[in-house]
Amino acid sequence: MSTAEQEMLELFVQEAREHLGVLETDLVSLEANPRDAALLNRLFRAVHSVKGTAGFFGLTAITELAHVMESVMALVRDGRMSAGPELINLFLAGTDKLKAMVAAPERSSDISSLAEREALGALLRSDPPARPAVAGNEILPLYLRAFRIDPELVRTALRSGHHVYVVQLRLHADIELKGQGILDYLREVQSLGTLIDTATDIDEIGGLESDAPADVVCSLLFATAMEPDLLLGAFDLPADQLVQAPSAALRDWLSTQPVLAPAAPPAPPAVIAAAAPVPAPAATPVTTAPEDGTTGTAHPMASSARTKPDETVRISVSLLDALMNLAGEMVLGRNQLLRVAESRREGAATPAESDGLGGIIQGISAVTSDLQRTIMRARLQPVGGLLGRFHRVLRDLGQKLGKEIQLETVGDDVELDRALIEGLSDPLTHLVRNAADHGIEPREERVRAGKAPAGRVRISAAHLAGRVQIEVRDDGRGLDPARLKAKAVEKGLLTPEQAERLGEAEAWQLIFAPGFSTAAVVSDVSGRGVGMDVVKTNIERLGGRVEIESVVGRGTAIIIRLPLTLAIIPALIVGCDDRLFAVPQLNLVEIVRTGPERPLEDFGGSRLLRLREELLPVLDLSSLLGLPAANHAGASGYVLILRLDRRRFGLRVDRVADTEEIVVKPLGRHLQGTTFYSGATLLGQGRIALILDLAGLAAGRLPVESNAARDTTRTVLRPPAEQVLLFRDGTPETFALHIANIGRIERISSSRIERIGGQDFLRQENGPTLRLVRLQTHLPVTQPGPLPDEIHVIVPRLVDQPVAIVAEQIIDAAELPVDALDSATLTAQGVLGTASINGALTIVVDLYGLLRSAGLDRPAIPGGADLASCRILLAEDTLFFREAVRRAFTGFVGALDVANDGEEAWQRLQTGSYDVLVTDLEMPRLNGFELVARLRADPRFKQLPVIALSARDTPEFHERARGAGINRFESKFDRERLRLALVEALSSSAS
Amino acid sequence: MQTTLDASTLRIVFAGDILSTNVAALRTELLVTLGAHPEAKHVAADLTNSRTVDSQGINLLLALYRETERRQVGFRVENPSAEIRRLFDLLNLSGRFGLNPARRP
Repeated sequence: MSTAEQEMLELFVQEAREHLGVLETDLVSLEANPRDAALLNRLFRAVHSVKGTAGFFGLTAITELAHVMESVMALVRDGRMSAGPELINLFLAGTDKLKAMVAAPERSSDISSLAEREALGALLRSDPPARPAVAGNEILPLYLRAFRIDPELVRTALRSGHHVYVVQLRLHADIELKGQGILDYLREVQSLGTLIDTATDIDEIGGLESDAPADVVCSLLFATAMEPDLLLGAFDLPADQLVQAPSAALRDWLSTQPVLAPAAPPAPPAVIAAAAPVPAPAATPVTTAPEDGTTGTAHPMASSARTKPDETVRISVSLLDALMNLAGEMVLGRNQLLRVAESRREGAATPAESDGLGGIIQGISAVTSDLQRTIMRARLQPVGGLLGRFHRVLRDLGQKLGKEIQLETVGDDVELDRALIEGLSDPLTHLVRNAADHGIEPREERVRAGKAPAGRVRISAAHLAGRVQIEVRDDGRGLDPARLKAKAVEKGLLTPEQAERLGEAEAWQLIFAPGFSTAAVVSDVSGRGVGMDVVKTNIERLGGRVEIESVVGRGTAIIIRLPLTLAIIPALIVGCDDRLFAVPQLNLVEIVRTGPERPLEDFGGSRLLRLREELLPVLDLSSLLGLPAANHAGASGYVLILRLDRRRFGLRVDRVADTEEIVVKPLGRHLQGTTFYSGATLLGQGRIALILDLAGLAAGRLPVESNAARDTTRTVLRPPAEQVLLFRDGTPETFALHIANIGRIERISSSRIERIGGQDFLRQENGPTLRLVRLQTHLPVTQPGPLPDEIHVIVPRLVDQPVAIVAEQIIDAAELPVDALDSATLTAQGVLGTASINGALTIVVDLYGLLRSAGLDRPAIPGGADLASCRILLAEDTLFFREAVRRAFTGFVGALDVANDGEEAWQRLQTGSYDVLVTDLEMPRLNGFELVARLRADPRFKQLPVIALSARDTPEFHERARGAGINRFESKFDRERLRLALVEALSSSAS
Repeated sequence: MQTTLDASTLRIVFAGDILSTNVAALRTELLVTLGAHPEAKHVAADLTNSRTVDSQGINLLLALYRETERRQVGFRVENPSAEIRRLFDLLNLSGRFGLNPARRP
């Protein structure tokens, strides 16, 4: 096959796919509107076109199948066969087969369509002969053929913009029963437009011995300026008795009629008429088929708007013209620039020419902007082509699930970048399938609930605040938070306590958790536990967001918000060494400056940034790319805090240059193998910047990925675990220390350790000398050998003394399941307990116990307060800290009651009597500040001592706590200080 | 209803309006009349005495037309009132009833 032939064949494939896309959508619509003339015409033309072009290439297999489909479609179009579900199934099966053949036209003859052709062929053989038509009317739809049509009347009507209708009248039911006379009614009809012809159906009327039919049916061919709705109102008729004749078909017919031809002559008079059959209009019931003057002929542009986006984009000629004009203006500007440049080079530039340079540049700038906008328009495609595909999806699903489901699409004309349309296809399919399978109830259940038997799924698209919002809404059973929570607990995603704390909206978010599914039965439609998490991930990759609204028993809406395009994106331009890179702003959360005053922390060869209460892994761009860089934790630079899927991480760069809207250009072939870049762009100053592919950069390089995850889903699915740092100190034992206890970690040379008075110290350049604590000295563990050359020191936070714990090896950050903590097996001061973490038995270090064991004594607890009889209420939402505080107070106070959050604490206070409230500040439902505000507003609790616990230790936080009416503010990790605070609170309360 | 056989033409003169209230009786009467004159080659329905017809009247006339068709005899309507004639024109029945359709509706 020559190149030209190959190109032609590719064109055929492209066009055929468009036609078949239209076919599928329209077939499903036809099932709901079996008499829709416009639809039928479009279907017929689509199959006809595929057949015709396939024939041109000698693709016999395609031609044969398309031919039989076309023949049966002609019967339907001509009203000789009705398009019921069975016939639609046959057509859809044929369409599927044609699609498969068109996908690989060279091998189309290998695909058998015998079954489809035989099934459709049987229908052809059962077709009764057609009714007689008026000569010359053969090209008209059947229901128009029996009318004697005056071409001039039709020509005048169309020229005046009038619509031509066929109106079906039952003389008794539609006229006499409504108290009107037939003649009066018809006179009124004539006052509303032009009665072109009438035909009374006598087919149903037999002789005198036959049963008389109930009514006489008369069809009117009528031209009027009235729209269908108005006309139906004027005629007082139901919608299915009016059909609008396709203007295109009438125009085609007119083109076969002589201009200014006289009206068709009446039948020759006969004194006694021969008993010959007189042409009668089609007995086909007619129905409303609103249609503009062009839709009957499947205009190429109209069809392209309904097709699946592909590798190519069709754009209108007017848009191309606009692009050509702009290109012409660009050439003009370039020539002007060249002329000025040439003159300058020769030193002959006139002042006028030099002065004109600004104008030329301004002109080119304006043209460039126009060019960009116009090209962007060319990339946009109506989303209707995508939405239309779901008619078929839902139809097939409805049949499979035994549910009746109606689909409504809104906003088909909304335009979206074609790349986004492609990216939306899979997520939307998931959502629609889920709506049909999980959302819409079976018919009986709907009826019992007082709903319409047929479920409804509505997919809408709309422009909203510069973004596109796409919504999949069903009127099904809705998301039941209780059921979602129960499922999450069952699957081990949440503890019962965590589930109980989740609000309604948070519970909805559970459906996005990987592996989550509430389907009682896993079907081949959905319920495999995959899908919704992928939907969310995919939408986020497109730069979008997913939201949920749901009402139990009423339905669910999944709302997707997307940018308009991916071709031009806002980006942050950053630099490493002397190179520039673009980072999509979409992924950027914030920028943090680092340096000696804010160094990164080193965890077992990985860098971490402590950002407020979160430890984020940090990748170093220079290191990744092999660029020279100051590769130490305290080097100056910037860390970009980035969000990717569910993860947050930092990316260290040398400098931040600017923000810019960049045009995404594909990478050259030589760079396409790399995973670090997603494209390239030309910056304003003419420099090239590679666009960083953050997913590629992060893949496999985030050692504490789990710790970094913190998006909405993550927040909702708060793990039933606490973050700990795993480390060893030259012994076989693995130790764990709560992340919140750690201030920083440094890697040092062991030669810097100085031993004084039997104790080890580390001098710091910019701080006090640290007393080093060795675990094996104070805990019952194996004795280690000599220190290696390099060690780590863990500097704790929230302690009074300058101390550090020695760790020979930092292993990783890990999650400690709170219910896995075993406090019975190994009991010693400085040990909170043991737990199996990552398959290894790990000693969980009690920092403050360890420090006490190391002789770093705490203030003595004064006497005076009657602790044995005091009753304490603890409000704490985290199981780990509840346990820690409970241990601190066990045997120390009379009684300790625990509330899981502020709201529960408030309820307990209503019935119980307490001497002190110890409360966490950050809790769901009612946080510590809100709880204290309630207390202080209530005379009963105005004087109740309150000790607040928090891992935060900033002056601002202390100030806020005092302002809120909190008496004491303590670290939740320091058992001794907690006890001291309790004693002081009780003492001052007593005094 | 009066009937006369003139040569081969059976003329049936309806006594008054042809309405839903009398079509059942007229249908039976017509069957009897046609059965009594098998030799008739043409049937003429004379509406001289009928001012109007309703939908069931039209139905009856069409049944008579189909009956003559079945018997392979000619059929025509004679002397319709202006109103009935207008109705037949509008319903495009004039040609079928052997009336000279003056013009399109």
